[in-house]
Amino acid sequence: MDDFIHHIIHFLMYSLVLWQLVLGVYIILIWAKRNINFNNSPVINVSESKQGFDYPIDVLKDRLEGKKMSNEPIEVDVNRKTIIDTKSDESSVKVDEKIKGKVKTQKDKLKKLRG
Amino acid sequence: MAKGLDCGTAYYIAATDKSIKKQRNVFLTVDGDANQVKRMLKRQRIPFVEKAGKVHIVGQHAFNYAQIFSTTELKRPMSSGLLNPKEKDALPVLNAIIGELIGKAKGKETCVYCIPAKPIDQTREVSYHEDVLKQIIETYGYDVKVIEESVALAYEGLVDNDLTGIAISMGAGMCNVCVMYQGMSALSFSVARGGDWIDANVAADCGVTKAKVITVKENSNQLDLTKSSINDIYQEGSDEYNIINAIRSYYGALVNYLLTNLTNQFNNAESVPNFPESVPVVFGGGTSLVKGFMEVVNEQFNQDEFPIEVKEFILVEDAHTAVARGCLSEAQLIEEDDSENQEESA
Repeated sequence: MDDFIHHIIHFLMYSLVLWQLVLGVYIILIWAKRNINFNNSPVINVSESKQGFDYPIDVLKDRLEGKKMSNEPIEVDVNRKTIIDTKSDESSVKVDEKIKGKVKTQKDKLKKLRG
Repeated sequence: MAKGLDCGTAYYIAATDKSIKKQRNVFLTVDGDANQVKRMLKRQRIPFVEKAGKVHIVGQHAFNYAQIFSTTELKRPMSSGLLNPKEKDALPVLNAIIGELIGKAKGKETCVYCIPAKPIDQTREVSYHEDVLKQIIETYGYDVKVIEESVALAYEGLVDNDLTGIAISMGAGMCNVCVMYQGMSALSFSVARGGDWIDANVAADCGVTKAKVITVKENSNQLDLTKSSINDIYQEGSDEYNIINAIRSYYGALVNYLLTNLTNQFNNAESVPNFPESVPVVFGGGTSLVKGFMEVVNEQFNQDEFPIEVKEFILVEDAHTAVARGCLSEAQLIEEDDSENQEESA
């Protein structure tokens, strides 16, 4: 029984020393990260400098060169293909008014103006 | 055969070189058993559209019904120049109207339709409206092209001035404006006020239905905007008398609103042409048809406050169909260009 208690005490002491070592190394590493600059490269590390946004490299380059950035929205052209059900089940629509005869337009003058 | 289509809030008008077709852009939904209602409508030869068990009377007949039964709600597939967001049954009705007006394309045919410019007084875009109409017209087999409504009007009304001047299309849902210099549009916009705005305000002020106001506006031989009231004293106090007076008042307000906003847009635009000479202002569209309209324009216009020297105000010939004819001209030119290109390549 005494042997068993002796082993338990030893176990606890060795564990305590070991945990103290781990804690010490952890504290030293945190201090070193805060106080020592490990990055000596002149290239800016994009992942460190970003503040919640992934800037395209062109934007970052423009900023480094001191170009002014526009905050205006960029209009984009979208290749739209709308598919909507517009068909009726049955239809018998008749035109309200139909005026027959030659329809006068300014087409010829318009053509001449356009050259 | 080239076709031009004016997709207006109150009327859809299709033009070919041989005819012009007009269709009032309204409908009303008939309650009751769909089959029974359809049988009844077919017997009386009343045009209808059925979709998902609902039957809608379309066009002038719907308008007539709304006048007779004042409690009946007249529905509009479009409002303020664009597709009516509150009207879920609008698209099948529009499809049926467009199909009847332009028919199926025989071979390679071009159809040019018009859309409004972006409105300055409501936060809506035109893209969805444009896409839906394009899709509907394409289902009938046409090569589809789009132009702005005011540009279509300019093609009819400004050609004699080298396509230089101001074109204002006075529609039911909107007024569309473009400032054009030698065929190029320097400034275009729309305001979401038009004939409907007049009707709604007159109806509210006079305590009558909008259908009644429209009837007076379109048919009354007493309506003349140059006169302040009906000369017949026995008609004073009648509905028609009140409506006519209110119409006159709101026409003045609408023209004033339009000219003020045109001045404001012109003054604030980044690049507008400096016209070396005075330019004409051409008006078209159904709302400009009322007798005395041009006198109201002259009355409201103030050259000292207007940024462009105006030569004259012109009401385009056959103002109601002018936009459709402008679209037709564009469609005809596209077809001619295509055939010339084909001949050259052959």
